[in-house]
Amino acid sequence: MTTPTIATHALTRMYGAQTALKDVTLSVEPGSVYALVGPNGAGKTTLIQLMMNLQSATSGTAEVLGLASGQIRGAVLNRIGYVAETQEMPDSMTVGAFLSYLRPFYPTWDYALEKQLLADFALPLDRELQHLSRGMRMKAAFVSTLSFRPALLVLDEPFSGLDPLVRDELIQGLLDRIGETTIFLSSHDLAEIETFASHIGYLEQGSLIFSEEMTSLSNRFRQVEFRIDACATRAADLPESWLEVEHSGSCVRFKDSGFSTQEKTIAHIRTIFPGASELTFEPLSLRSIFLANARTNRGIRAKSEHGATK
Amino acid sequence: MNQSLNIFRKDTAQMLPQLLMPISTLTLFTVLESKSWGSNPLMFFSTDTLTNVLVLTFCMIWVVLITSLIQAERLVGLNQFWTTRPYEWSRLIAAKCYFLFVFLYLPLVVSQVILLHQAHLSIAQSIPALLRNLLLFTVVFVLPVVCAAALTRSIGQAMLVLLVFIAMLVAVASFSTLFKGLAPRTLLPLQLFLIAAALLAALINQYRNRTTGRSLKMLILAPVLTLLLQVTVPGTSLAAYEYPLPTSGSSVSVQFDSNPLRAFGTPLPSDPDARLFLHLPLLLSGVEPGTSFTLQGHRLTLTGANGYQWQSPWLSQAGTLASSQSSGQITASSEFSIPKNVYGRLAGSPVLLRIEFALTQLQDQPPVESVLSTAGARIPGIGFCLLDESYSVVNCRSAFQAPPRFAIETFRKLGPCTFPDAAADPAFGMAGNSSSVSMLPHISSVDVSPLQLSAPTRAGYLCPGMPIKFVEKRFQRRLEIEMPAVTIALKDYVGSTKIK
Repeated sequence: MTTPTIATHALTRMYGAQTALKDVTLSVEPGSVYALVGPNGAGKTTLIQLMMNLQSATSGTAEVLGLASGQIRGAVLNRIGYVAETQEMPDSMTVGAFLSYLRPFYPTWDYALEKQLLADFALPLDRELQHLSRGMRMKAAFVSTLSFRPALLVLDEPFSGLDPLVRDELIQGLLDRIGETTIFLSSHDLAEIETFASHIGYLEQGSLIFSEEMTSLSNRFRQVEFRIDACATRAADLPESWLEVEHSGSCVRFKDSGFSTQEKTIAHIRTIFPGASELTFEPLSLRSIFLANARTNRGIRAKSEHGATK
Repeated sequence: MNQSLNIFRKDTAQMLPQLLMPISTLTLFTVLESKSWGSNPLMFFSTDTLTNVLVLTFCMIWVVLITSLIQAERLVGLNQFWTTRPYEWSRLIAAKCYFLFVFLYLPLVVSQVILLHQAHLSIAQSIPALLRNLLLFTVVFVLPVVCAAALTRSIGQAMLVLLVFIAMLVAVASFSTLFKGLAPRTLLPLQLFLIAAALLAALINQYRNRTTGRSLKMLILAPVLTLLLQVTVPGTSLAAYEYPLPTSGSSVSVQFDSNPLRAFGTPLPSDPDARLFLHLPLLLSGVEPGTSFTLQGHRLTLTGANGYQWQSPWLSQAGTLASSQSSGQITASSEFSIPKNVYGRLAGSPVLLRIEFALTQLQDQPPVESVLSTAGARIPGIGFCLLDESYSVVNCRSAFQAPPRFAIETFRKLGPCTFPDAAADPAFGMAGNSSSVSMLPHISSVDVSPLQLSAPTRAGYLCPGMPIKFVEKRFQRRLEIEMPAVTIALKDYVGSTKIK
């Protein structure tokens, strides 16, 4: 059994009485591309910062490359690349000076790869970082990170606010590294993630709702639609795995988060709606899965808050 | 490449244009400083004022530069690029130290050595003072600025933290003035050591763990510890330890002089808040020739016939108790403040008086004879002394601080120096410092002490070619002397004003 590149156990971070991250347990296997998704404020950046030893956990543990996150400092960072949307850079340096400065820090720095990435990203060496566009700055950050061939690449919202062309270039840069590097990234860019992530974790309100392989997730979710007698009464208790259930006349539509086979789902539907007919099953995009989860959880939260107010 | 050197090279490249300012300020200061040693005023400013402005400018520029240097790798916040790069915290500190060494300490030392050379002072003999000054400069200036920069995210915040820190220290210092006791000699260095230790601990914690809250607590600990030390270590116990009773071989003694002609009692004032002083005549015996005693402090004990006893704390007191050129008994006097209510309780009947003195004993060194000249001469143990071009004052230069206490004897002509037959009166004076040395660093390495000479006639000229004699009064020891208890009537010696 291989040691996971990242493993967290019951990781919790409190800010005063507020819980930013609650009992997060996840594992990232070597060579995988793990995408962490979730709405704003879900705790994605906090989780990454805890892993990177930028913050300390209130309780629980995180291990990165077999080391406790508290040890992620100094020479250990020779093997970890980190790029964040909000990361500050030495603005008064030119791209060339920035890369020349970083080169001696890394024994594994690949100068040929640096040259290639500079050419691929068309980065001007003589421009100061402060005078670069957002996309160009992100490219400079990528070059400075990919050039030392890190064993683990941690990316916090790397594509946020970038135009599609730059986004594609950066993703291509990442795709070229898949296999030699484990990638852990958080992003809102679900369409792009879907194309190259091997694993996905969904974080909401500081809790990890699910963490699984991309194929398993795609297989688990289906858009289900069927017809019932217009006069049929609505079932009061629907399964929790049915998300965003909609009745429209005789048509019932929902997103099944526990799909395994059509036969099983049909049998399940018919126990609740005996007259169900014309059943159709469609796979869901990552975006649809994300939205279904987010909306459902928001609805549950609103209900519980409403109940608490009453 | 070594990581520290790589960071140092980066900092140098980034800050090189800004470094021109302190270096040119220091250069200008070095050029002008030697001109302030004489009495040649410029048009509007004296050179002295100008060099003081340059020192202030130099320090202010370095506050900004140190903050920029430290905050190039900001230690506060979560989004700095360097925190996720393989920086070793110890090498990062080393890189910043290299920078300060090359661009702050080295130019400063060069400037100070040039000034020592220009002042005709021995550079080799000044090295301990030079190193001590650099240590003080680090503790009092560099370390607090570095700490403030390391604990904040902008120059504005750094300035604010620095100001708050200075305000806290000033508050502690002001509070300590409430303690009028004899300040233990070791207390200030100990307090400085505590401040340096707290600053270093905060700095290392910040670089190692980047836990700003904890580092700030350590920083606040510095003035708190200083205050605690002031409060919990009373001057009395530590000072008494520093002034031991003389061994049996010592012959010096102090007695109360009961000669009624030396009683200074004056009518008491009607003002109930007026302070009262006891003017006590004393006799000293056993003082060896060439020995002098400077007062550092005293403790007074009064016991009334009714059994009531009042003892003052150890109180600091400056002045010369006795100075002897020949053996025999010496008359002296000393003044002691007593609370009015104590006087009220004890004045009615004779009281038993007991005094303990904390003294510094100085010993005259063999005199150094020279002649007054504007070219000057090096005087061993003192420095380099020369007659000012105005022929009115002798300036003695010494490294970093006033020289040890010394006496001067020379002559002052009553007529202009060009009159060869003008009569001359003896003139004499004292200069130098016999008390504790300053704990403040200096940018200039040369201290200039003008000799204040007294003579029977006020006017007169110090002329080139006149003989001058310097006698260094070198520190021998600290000691406590107890005056044997004597019964006196307080009213014969009490007054509402100081006589001196």
